[in-house]
Amino acid sequence: MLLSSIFCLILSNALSFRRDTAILYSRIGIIILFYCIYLCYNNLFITYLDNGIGLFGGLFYTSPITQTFHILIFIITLLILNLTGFYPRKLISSQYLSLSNLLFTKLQFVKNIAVSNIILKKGEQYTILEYTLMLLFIVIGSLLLISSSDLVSIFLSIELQSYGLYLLCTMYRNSESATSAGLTYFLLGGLASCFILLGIALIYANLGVTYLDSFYVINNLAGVLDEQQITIYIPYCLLLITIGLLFKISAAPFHFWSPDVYDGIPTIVTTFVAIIAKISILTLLLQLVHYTNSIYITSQYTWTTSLLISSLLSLVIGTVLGLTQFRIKRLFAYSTISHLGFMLLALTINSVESIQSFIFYLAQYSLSNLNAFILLIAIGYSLYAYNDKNINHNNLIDKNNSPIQLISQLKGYFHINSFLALSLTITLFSFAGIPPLMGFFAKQMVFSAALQEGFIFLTLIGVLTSVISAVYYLFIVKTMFFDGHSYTYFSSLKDLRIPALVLQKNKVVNKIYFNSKFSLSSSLSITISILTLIILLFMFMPNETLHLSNILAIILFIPGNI
Amino acid sequence: MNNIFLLNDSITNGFRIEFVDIIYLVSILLGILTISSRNPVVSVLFLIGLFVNVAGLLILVGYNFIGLAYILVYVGAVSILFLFILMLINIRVSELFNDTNNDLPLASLTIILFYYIIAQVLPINFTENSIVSYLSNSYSDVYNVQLDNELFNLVDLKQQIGYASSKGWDNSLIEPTHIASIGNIMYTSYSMWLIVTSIILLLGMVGAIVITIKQK
Repeated sequence: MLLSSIFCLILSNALSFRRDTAILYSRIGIIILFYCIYLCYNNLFITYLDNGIGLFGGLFYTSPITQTFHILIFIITLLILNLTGFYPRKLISSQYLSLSNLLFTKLQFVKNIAVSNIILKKGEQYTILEYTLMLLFIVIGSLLLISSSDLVSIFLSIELQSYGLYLLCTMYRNSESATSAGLTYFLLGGLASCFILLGIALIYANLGVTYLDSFYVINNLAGVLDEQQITIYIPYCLLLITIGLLFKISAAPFHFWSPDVYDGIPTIVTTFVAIIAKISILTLLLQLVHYTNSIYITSQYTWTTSLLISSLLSLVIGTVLGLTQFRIKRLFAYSTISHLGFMLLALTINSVESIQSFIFYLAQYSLSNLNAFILLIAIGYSLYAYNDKNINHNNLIDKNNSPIQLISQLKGYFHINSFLALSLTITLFSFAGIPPLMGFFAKQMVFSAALQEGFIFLTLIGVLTSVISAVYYLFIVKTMFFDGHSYTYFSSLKDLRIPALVLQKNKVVNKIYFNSKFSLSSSLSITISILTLIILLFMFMPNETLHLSNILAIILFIPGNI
Repeated sequence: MNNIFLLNDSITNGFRIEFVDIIYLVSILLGILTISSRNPVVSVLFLIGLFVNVAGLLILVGYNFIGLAYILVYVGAVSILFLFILMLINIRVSELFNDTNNDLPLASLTIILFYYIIAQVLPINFTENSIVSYLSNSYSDVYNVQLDNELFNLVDLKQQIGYASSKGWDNSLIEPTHIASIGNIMYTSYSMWLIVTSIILLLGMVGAIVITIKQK
């Protein structure tokens, strides 16, 4: 909750009148997030936190798992803020690269308009002042959601998180598709909240408790006390809550909104919407499933079976429907759905190994999904200097906010910027689970956990769908590497010379010309390179991550033994 | 084994179970009319009637404060907002005449399925008093419970305990009012929820400003 104090500060800052200072707010947000990461890391006493400590009279709790996922959320939000915190392109001149020049002189451009066009100073994401604020609201919501241990606080924090997400979707008001997607998201999210609320109300009406701890106790003693009554209705209530939660993370039978929404909203926002909500809700589900799973000892019906059904449907629908997509963000949405199938499978098995694989899968998938979206944005920025000859690509709706919409726009991209193409390839291979990359290890852990508990059919389905889904990932790779591209370099940019003055103490020292050499700014490229290297080189240093997830899983099962 | 006996005095209370049934039926009727009426303004008026009805039920059952808050919030704010919006957007009624009769079997199937599942889930004293359960087991003689009869057993009384609340004057000396007890709880042990709710409200305010502000 230290976040909220920091966040009052942002609110007071948000009263500023100038719209062009939004970039500075993003940077402030980054600093705040660094601070939060430090606080979280400082509080991560794995030995003492043990199985969780209740906060605020048991309404919230903290445990190593919540702290770790807090840090994960902070890091991802930080990287996403990084996208709006800096201008996406930069000019390079070899005359102005020496260190003494950079430190002691000041550069002034003569013609500002061309430069601000090139570094995209007027992009719409830099005029939205409240973007950082909204992001921090959502982050507060998801942090509270992860660490809530009471049914009412679950509902409150889920509402906080989703209101923020709806607002974030509609925030780009100039684009029609973003507004309509935000409205869709709002309506369906409201429906999901209704389900959650109904489940909570039924639990309260039946058991008279809202504390999750006492709920778990009643739940696990239920079979001993009264076999007929409680064991019938507790699974139904939990099922209703879970339907709401699955709606929010767009798992398979409830997935219809997610491709439309992801496709409609700007890519920068999609990055956030697609990742953060899933991390928090899945962590909450981890807690719910783990503590209520043992009810199946006494009753015939266990509600986690329905999670398995959802997992199976997610796997199948995510892969099969993904095959027909030609819009890249819809494709990513379907791939997210199929990955959710793996996570739900690992979640439902609920053994030490599977929880370990679940935690690891969630972390690695969030990071590589983030990398994929950042790469899409970067590719969109890097195509600025190119003219597209393909007629179909020129009249796409909402081209300013999400430049890359079709897979065919990536045709032959390898010949334009090979590094970005290679990074995207590595990320996609990691999605598909090609061996030396990070995604492979996650999938392998899920499968081995499933086989150990005897889920042979689902494992087979998982392997098959993973192979089928490799088809569309490889299709993107093929499009990027082997097709000829339709882009031509702008002729006016080719012999463009931008004059600039080098000032030293307000005196003109030198006059240099920038030619049209410009590249992606280092914030984007550093983020991409770090994430790609993590994915690529994971196999050389897997110990830290695996040990961390192992310890977290063991703590959940055997408290007090570390 | 200690047993707690709750005695319901229907003389001072004035509460009779039949009224609840009447209110149930009227609110079901109003709910159906809300959906089925073509004109949106009429439909909103039915909705207001439904809210007032439910608020009356809550007050009758004993939740005074919640019932009043219901009228205040839903009738006072939300429905009036609905009416305003309906006046602003100018819907032509003729456009709304679409054929919804095909959906009737689906709707009834959904309702039956929903009731089947929910009736298992609902606690006993919720379903037992409704008119549906009277129809299903008509042998139950709830109405024959006499107060001066010493012989009634707890099973019969259980029907009435669901609405255990009394309006006797002497009880108001010991029993704090609803607002006081809600405030007691809300500002002490559950103050964290209050803070989270305030953050949500703040977000709502900021969000409303963000998506409507005129950008320069």
